[in-house]
Amino acid sequence: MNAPRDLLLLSRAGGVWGVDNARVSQVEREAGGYRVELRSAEQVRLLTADEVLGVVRGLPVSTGASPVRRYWAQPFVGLAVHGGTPLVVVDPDRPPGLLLTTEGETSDGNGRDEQKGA
Amino acid sequence: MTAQAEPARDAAPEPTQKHLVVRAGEYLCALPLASVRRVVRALSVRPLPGSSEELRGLSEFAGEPLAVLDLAKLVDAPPGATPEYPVTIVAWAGPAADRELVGLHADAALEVREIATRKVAAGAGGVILGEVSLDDEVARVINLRALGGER
Repeated sequence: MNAPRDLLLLSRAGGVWGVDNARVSQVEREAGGYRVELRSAEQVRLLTADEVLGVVRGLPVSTGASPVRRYWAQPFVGLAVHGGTPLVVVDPDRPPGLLLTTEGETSDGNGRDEQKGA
Repeated sequence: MTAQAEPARDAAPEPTQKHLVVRAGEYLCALPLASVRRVVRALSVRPLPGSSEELRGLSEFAGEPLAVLDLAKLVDAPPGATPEYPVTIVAWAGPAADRELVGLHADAALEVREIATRKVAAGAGGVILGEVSLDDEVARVINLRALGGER
């Protein structure tokens, strides 16, 4: 178990996902759901969510999760539980394809990078 | 004068290990009981899109996230009849130094059996440690240490 984290929780494709709240720069409602903007020094990533569930502070995250890594190829930081619901803590630099919008990611000021597939 | 026969010495007890025997599809599987933490009614899971069929999804157990694997898929068991009371076996998996709890979905938990180590016919490796005859049926002895780390 690693240090507790502040996470923005999203629902998407039947699952619950946690994103480092410090990396969230914008949350916007759009048709059919929400768009979440993650910003770093190098780039902006756009995630899509069915629902935004709120921010949870100090959530313990299990970073081992070997059985999951063994059978699910998407990168992730770890797993957590909130309110009895298990969730995947997303790597903000490599979110799973199903969370990316069709716009995918952009580099900062240099046009669009290659879209990441699902 | 006739020679007196030596009284038979007690044979050394055969090493055995307790196993939980479960039904997964059409196979019997034997899990080392020392690694089993709890057997519960089948936990509800949230599937992870795009995961292998061995991973049923994520659940929660004792306040912690728990990956639930499909034991029948892990051992390539043919599907059996729809189980009436499926279970999740919460067990320690992976190497001893990095063991983690994992849930194993099975059709039924049947009994605890002592299995003699020498009677386990070695398997090809991986998740199935070997096979042993239990009454009229063959049981796959599961190697829970193989469930940790990269595939």
